[in-house]
Amino acid sequence: MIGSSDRGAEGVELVKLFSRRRTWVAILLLNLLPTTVAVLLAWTGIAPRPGSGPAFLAAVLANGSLFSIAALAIVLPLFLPIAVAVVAGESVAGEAEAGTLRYLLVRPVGRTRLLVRKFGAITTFVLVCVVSVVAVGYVVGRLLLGNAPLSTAMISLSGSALSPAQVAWRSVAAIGFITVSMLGVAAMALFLSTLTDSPQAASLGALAFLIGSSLLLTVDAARPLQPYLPTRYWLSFIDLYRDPILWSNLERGLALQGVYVVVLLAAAWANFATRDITS
Amino acid sequence: MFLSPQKLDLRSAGAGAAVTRTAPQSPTIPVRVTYGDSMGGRTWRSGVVLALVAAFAVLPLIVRVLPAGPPGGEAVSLLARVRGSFEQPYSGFAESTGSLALPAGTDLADVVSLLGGRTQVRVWWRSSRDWRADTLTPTGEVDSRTTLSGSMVWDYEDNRVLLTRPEPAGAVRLPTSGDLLPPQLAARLLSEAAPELVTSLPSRWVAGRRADGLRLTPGEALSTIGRVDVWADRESGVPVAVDVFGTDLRSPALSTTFLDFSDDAPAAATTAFTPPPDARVRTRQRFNLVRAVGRLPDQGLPGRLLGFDRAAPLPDLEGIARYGRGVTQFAVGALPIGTAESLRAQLQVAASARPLPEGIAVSVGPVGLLLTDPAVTGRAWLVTGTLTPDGLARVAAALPRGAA
Repeated sequence: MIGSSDRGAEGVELVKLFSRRRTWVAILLLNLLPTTVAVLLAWTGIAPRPGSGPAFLAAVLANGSLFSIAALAIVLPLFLPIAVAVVAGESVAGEAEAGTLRYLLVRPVGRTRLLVRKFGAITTFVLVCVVSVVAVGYVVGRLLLGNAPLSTAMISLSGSALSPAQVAWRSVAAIGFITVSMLGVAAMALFLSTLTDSPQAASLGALAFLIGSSLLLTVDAARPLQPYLPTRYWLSFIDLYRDPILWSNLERGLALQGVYVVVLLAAAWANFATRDITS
Repeated sequence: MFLSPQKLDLRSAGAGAAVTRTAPQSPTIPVRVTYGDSMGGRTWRSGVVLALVAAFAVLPLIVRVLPAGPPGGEAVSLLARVRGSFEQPYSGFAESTGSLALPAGTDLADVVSLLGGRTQVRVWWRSSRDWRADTLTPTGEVDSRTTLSGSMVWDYEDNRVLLTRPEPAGAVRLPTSGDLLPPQLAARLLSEAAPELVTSLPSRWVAGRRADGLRLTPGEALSTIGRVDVWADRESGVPVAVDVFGTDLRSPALSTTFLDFSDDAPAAATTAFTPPPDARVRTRQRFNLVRAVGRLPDQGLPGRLLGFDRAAPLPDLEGIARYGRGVTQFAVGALPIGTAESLRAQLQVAASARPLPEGIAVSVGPVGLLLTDPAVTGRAWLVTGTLTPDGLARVAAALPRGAA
């Protein structure tokens, strides 16, 4: 159970994270790419050919509301993990580089708790990023790509009609799934952040981990490894828009991220709790 | 730089607590050093991490090798169970992996992708007259619904529905993703399997269920199918995994398995389909090359070739003669000159093309194709099936000669 002092300390990490200008710049840049795509689509009226481009992008010219989901598919493979890796990589290494980590530890707070709070703040950041992409995508899509009545049914990937209520709860589930999908990246960057005093090195290390995973997903010889790669199920959020919903890939994706988070947080804890802090 | 604890007694602070001390100060900058746990703390924590890694790494291996119990019975009785399950309802999520490097072509793009890559299919099978198979892609899906009145193929990204009339039994057509589902593939491969050609395999787990194994070894000298391994669900007898091996027995040329499986009958509402209001609805014609070959009258092909009997001709495709036994099957037909020359030009640039005295041959995994040279065989014959190049050449040599 978290006591009031813990919640206060948790709040300190959140305030610290969201009072940084670079945090908001990252969120702004994250929303800039899908907004640019929406402007170009509205301007040219040319949607990607079927089968090419991110999911749902071919359909947004007919229904602008779908751009909120398409925006997620646009940022998910690269931009969102970059933002998460940068913020998580900075969480401990950034304090060390700035010389503030030792002062943090002077306070009566255990290192394990500090790590948990850092991870909690990163999780909140991921959630804010994903929700902002959906919200901005929805507004931009409605404004630029068509504002069909909200009561209009959406056609699922399987060709059946989904009511607005069904689309709403499936989108909330997609936000949750993508947030959890990013926690593996966050845990990797946080672990690397406890190994080095350089936030850049931690972020780049986490990104190298993801690029390696994405590359192995395209290599046929790596098929036995693929079910265990951290990026394997990221795009499975679109399974929520099939009818009936394909739960199995979503469940495997959540379980896989859980394993990565547990192992990497344990590694971060083992290293950070026994490390001598000099900066 | 990490500083050593020097003379500080870290144990006095208790395990797990951070100890803060002020190190000897320089004249200008105070340096505060926060020490971590002792070496003992580092060791047990690292042990916890290693134990976690080992547990998560070994768990999938344990699940894979976990014994599925004793075999479910004799191979012959299992073969009978599998054959009796072909109308059994089921649903599931299957993945097929092909390693057949087909030459790419616009007309055959779907088949190239199907047999040369990974395909994921969801299926709801109520009966052979009412079923649905969804081929999943990262950005959409292509769904096929089959009923007594024909089939409807919904393509989400094309926003298109293709209607096809019901196929006559045994109709010649290109393979679809539904044909690669374990029950469909096993039905095709085991339909003529003789009991003396099947043996038992150890049981294993497939999609979290016990499955009993069956191995079919055709033993035909001219066949390119080395063996077929089938695992059937112990509860229902429905095949849940199939591996097809070519002449290379180390790895399957085609492998298909259920990742999720249920033997409960799917609801009628799941297979029902009404095209979306703004979808384009089209009627599909049958594959043109098959029509080009089959529209010619019977060219006097014999009733028996290389010891294989000829099957009954298909309606509207009298020009195609089918021969075979078990998994060794081949078809012969005469091509119109224009079609033959167009196909020859494409085969000549294929990576696996092989010139033979009778014409040009291409092998794609266990499937071989020979287009004969009219100057040698009198007509441009197309011979294709699960035959070795030597078998294809012997078929071509045995075909009737006629004017080019």
